[in-house]
Amino acid sequence: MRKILFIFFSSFLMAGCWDQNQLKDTRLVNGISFDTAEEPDKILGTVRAINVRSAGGGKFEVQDEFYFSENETVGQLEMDLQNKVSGRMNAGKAFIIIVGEEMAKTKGINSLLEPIIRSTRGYISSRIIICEGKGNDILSLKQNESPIVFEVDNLLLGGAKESYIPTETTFTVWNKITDNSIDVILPFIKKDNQNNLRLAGSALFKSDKFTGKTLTIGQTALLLTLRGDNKSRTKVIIESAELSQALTLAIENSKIKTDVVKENGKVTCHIKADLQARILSYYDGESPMNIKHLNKLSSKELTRKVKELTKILVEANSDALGIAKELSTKYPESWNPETWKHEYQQVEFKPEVNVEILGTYNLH
Amino acid sequence: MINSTIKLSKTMEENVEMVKSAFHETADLKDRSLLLNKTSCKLIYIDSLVDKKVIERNIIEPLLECKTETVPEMIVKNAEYVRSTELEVTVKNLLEGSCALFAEGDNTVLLLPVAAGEERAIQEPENEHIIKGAHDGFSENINKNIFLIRRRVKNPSLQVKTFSLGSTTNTKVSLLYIDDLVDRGPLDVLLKRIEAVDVKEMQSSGELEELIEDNSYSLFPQMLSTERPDRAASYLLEGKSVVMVDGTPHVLVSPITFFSFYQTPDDYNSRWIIGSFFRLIRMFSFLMAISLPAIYIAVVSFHSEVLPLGILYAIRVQIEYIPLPPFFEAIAMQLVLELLKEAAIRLPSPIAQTIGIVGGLVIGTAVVEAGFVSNTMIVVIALTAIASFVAPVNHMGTGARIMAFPIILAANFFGFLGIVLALTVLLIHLCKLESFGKPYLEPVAPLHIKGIKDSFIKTKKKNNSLKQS
Amino acid sequence: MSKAGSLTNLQIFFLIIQTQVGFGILSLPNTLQSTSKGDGWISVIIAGIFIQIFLVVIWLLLRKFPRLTYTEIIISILGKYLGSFINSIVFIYFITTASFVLLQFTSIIKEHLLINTPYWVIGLLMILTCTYLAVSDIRIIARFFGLISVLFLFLFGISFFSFLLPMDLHHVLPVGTSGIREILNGSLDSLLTILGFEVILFLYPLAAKKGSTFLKVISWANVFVTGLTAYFVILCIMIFSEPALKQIHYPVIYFLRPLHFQMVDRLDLLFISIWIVPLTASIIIYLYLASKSLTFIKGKPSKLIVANSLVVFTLFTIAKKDPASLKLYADYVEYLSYGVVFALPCMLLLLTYLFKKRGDS
Repeated sequence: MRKILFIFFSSFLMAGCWDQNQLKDTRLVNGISFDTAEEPDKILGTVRAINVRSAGGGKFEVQDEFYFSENETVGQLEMDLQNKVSGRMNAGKAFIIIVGEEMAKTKGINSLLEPIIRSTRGYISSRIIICEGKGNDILSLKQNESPIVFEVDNLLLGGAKESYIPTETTFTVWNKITDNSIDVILPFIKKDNQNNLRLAGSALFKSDKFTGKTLTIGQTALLLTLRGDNKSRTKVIIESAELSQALTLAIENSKIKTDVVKENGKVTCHIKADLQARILSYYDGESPMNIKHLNKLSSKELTRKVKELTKILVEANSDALGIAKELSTKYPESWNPETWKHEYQQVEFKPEVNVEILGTYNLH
Repeated sequence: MINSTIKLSKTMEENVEMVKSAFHETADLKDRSLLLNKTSCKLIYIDSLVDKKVIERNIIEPLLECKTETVPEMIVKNAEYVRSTELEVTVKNLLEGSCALFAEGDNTVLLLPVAAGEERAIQEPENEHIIKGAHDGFSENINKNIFLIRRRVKNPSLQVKTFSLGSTTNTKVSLLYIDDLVDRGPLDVLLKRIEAVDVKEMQSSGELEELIEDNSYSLFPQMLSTERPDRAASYLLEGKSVVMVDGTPHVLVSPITFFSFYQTPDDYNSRWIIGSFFRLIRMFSFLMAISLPAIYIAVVSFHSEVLPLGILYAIRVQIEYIPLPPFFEAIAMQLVLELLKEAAIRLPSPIAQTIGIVGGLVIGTAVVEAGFVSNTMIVVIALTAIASFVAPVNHMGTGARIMAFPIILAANFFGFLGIVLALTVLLIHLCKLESFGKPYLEPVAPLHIKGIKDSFIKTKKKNNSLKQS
Repeated sequence: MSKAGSLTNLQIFFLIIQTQVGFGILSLPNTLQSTSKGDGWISVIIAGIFIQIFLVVIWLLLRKFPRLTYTEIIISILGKYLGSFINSIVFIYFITTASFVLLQFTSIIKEHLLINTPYWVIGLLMILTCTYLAVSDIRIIARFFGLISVLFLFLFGISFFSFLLPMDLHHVLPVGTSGIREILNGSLDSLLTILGFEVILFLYPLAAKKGSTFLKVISWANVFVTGLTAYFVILCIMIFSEPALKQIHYPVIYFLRPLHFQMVDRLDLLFISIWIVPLTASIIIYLYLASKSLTFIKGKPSKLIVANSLVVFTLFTIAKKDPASLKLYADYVEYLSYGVVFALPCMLLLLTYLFKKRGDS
């Protein structure tokens, strides 16, 4: 027994450790972006990596570094970037992936995500966002300053908390894209003239390609409510000619019933939404508040908004509500994914929203 | 040694010479001549072992005052005496602090115990402090220790078996158990092993433990040594047996299980929820003491992915300029810790405090400022040390710290796989280990649901009038 | 060696479940995608029922020879020469299964934890750990197995976190779309996963409580393992989309990867690290059984086990490690298992009825 133990230890002490990958030697990448490059068929990949500098006296300064490279595939990009980054590049914690508008439209995002999903080190809970223009421009903001990626992350965090944007991660996006029965929507960000970032709503996808159509923050919130994906109280604004000032509602409970009916080859989608809400702001100088009237008014207004939303979805050919999924489980025998692509254009949406105002907070 | 067949003779002088030569004419063997009823007598004793006042008051005075014709044992004021014809018995009793009275023309000797009572008073054990509960502790005197047990267990079935171990030291060893309750299997094993002990010297219970335990290569103690009579008594009541060695305040309890090492009398004296909570904390501390540095090393050298963003960046910033690999960092700090501990134990307490300050504060801060060791590593090692000191029995805590080294080694080579396999080997070892024929991990392996109630947690004590022990 | 009547019901239960739960479950949802797809869980349950029937068959056989081990039963029914021959086949089955589990184990470790470490190193570490326990008495093995069954609670606990992921019932619905044929094909695949119940062949003479209690214990173990497998399969089916499930090798590991918390990330790595222990348990028991089926070789049992470990390790080292070969080995083990685990006990039972043999005589 002791002889075995001896061989056991000595062999390992001699052989060394194959997989050691000291955290100290790694350069942590925190953000990645993919864009179309100048040359066709090439990808412009950009990474932001963290750089720690000693400020003396046991204190440290954290700075961000910026690298980019152009190559044909993500794998090649990684190899090239590895040679540019000092230290071992580790994308195992790259928590933001920004895809440029053009890239998402032309190449699609599936091929970009594939290496991350496949690798054992890839961070599949990272967030994917689509940006106006180039992702490179966003990652190159505030170089040698505070890590911009954290700003983006906080932006997303705030948006997701208020249910303004979808909370999709790399994994859920990939899972949905391969599924082909529901189309994803991804957060869409913009950079303004002062180089400040803002959430601009969401980008509609058809399969793994960006359709070019985007939803505003309000529409995204509504869509998420209809999908039942809203995390917290969703705020909606009701505008009407009858009101002197727009009314703001917070939806507290929502009961959504989506019913897909196929008759004579024609698909009709009934969306029945019962929403319970509270008034966040309402001002009318003349008439006092009439809850019943407001219920009716906002129901009508929201139904109109949902109609508008579904119209955009159909135009973009993006099945963000997952009609295909309902159809395929309800009518499995007549389900054909090939013809569905055309059929979707003919789907008729019949939304019906009922709003019930529960309370008005402190003021009457 | 003395030939056991030597008998005493009728001549007193010859007898005295025999005794003196048996003691190699030692200087502290004193004799005093007396005259009792016109017979000349001689009182022999070892000066250093006896209480001279007792000799004067209880033996010499009555003997000298006696005028009637009678045997000495009727006159002396001792509670017990032995009459013997053998030299061996005489020598043995003299060594235990008796005095021997030889009379002319008599081939027997009267042995009277007059041992000096130079002993430590009953004190609270230094290294087994408790908050609530009895504050007495065993001392070096075996009779006093048996007294402490007897006072707690007033039951006629409490048995005491005495052995004399060590051919040179002739140390008295007692085995205590409650006849009605004791688990016979382990007791027979224990008896057999004690009887088989054949050594020259027996100084302490630790020596005896090494001679009779099951696996002396194991880091886990297979007998529980305690200085607390309440603890020993409660184990006796559970059907275990207690071995006492004269001259050591530590008694040995066997058979014992792993979980006993993480229990204290405090658990039984406090509210049962609190007791259970602390037991769980202590079990957790064992796991922490053996695996925390290993987990840290595995994480920073292999699987940094398991750290969430915030912690990852915090650690990454800390270790940026550390020249040593985490493995050596951990080993070095563990060694420094052991050094500090060793240094502090032996020193008188005012200096030990200085060591604590120099070691803990000065070295700790300076080593980080100098950039040799990272702050996170200091935190990890400090937590490990504290976790190991939580163990109520010191052996176990030290054992846990030593066990941490191979696990650190495994983690350094194979990351999580190394840790898991090392812990598996440890667990297998624990499963194989037996304490006097009883599985060491009872009641978890083999599993007894009822037993678990009292090993991991401490359940409420029930008022049971049906069960009587 | 072990005295008869020394294993409690609970210990037998743990011995069976630890042997049965191994690497197979990790990739089962992926394997089932090629057959029963969304109805994979039905396949698992059917496989469980099938195994239950077999358990009864084996039990009927064992009940006739309450004091003999499987090896001795074979010899007493088939005679010395034929019996020894059959026993060597049983031995080969256990050795190959142990090597196969070891091979699968190392490939899982290499894919997830240690990418660059050579196969032989991981294999050696593993086999040494296993041998250390396998050389001991079955009661000690049972103790260890009981102890590590606590880990199943941990694994369950970790799997509950997956409820945080978006789950889709549409992947399961409507039930039965794949058709009976495909579902049955799927149960054939699942059979290999929950293999390992053959350990009972050797446990019967050691059991403290024989007869119907024993049947009850093994049935509960089967229910547990089938339930566990079905649970993980249905969890994976609900989480992953069909094409995704088809692509992922080890869905049961992968479904923990997207989860992240404030305190810990990448639960999949923790999950594999814990799963290593049930895997070692499988290898340990196969090593032990292999030595048990070689009773005609006289010698110290511990030496025999060390020799077996050497054989297993050699087989493991010379085996090719590419996916195609792994599939091939899986098929071999499967066919061998049909022979040894399913056909042989049936045949033996038939023979005992024909010749009216009883172990008591």
